[in-house]
Amino acid sequence: MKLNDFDRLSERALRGVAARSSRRGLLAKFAALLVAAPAFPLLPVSRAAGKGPARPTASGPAEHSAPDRGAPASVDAPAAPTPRSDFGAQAQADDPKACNYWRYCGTDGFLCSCCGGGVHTCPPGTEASPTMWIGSCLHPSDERTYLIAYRDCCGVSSCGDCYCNNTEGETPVYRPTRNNNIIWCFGTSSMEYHCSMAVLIGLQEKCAGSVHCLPAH
Amino acid sequence: MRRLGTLLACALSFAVAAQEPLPPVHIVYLKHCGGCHGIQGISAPNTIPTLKNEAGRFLCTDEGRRYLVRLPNIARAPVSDQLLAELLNFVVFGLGGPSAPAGAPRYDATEVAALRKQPITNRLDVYRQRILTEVRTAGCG
Repeated sequence: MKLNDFDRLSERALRGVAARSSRRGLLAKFAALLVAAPAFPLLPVSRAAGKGPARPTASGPAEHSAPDRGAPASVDAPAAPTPRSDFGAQAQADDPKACNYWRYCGTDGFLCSCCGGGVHTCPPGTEASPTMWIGSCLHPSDERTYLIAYRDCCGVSSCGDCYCNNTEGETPVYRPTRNNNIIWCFGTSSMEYHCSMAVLIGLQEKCAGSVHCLPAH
Repeated sequence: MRRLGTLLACALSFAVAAQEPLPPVHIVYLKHCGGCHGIQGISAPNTIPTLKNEAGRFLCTDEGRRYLVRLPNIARAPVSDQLLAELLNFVVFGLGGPSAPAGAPRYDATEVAALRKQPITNRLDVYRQRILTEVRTAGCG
């Protein structure tokens, strides 16, 4: 095909399109596409994130108020509001003998609340360890993240009831300060592990899971 | 009636204040240090050093001041130089309280950045004893 033939063919096709359509019509269709596009999420990740989890209601008292020592305010850049974790999506605040009780988000062990003690009390005959690891859990109803001390009760052999293995906030064993596989009985008279508590020690941030509130830091 | 209103207002403001988040550096202390050293800086004194009313005495000597930053778990803590400086100040001046010598300068990010590049890697127990002896000789603790 000669170049002139190609030019003529192209010109004829373009003139045909121009004769059958208007510039206004094209603009209107393009604008409609722009307006409608956000209504149809394209990626499955986006659709999955849009599904809201079920949220039971309850409230949580504080057992231990940590001291405020007037620390300086500036720290690293603020964190963005975090979406709910797998644990957070199933957490409840009514039954402290169930593994999905909100404070147990990092518990690995037998629940003291099933062993004659409570969420923050040791069973009779055991000794509360003075050492612990400290993590944080999102309360399912007030959208706040609380600091939780995971303390073990020691001195009697394993309780054996209500074993839970949650891992939120724990670190690998080479960062042992927040590892939940460690038996946290350091400082007690016996390293014999009995059960695990989840002691509430303070508020970490407000509105942790909500996009409507700014994080506290 | 007015007195009752004032009382209610006070109770309400106290309740709101009690629900304020802890300061960020306090949270970092609790999550990285407080599990072993204790929420208030005291846990198991025979095995874990007490910080409350004691940590500040290391600032009585220059080497003691450097020692605190060079402790392996401090030097290698997964936080920025700035945040580590604030954490050290929280421990020595906040938890340490009156144990810090009067007029001791606060840590800053520049000082911390240089010192944390030289973590103690050998015979920490022996080095610690020497530092403590020097601190006592200097009249602290």
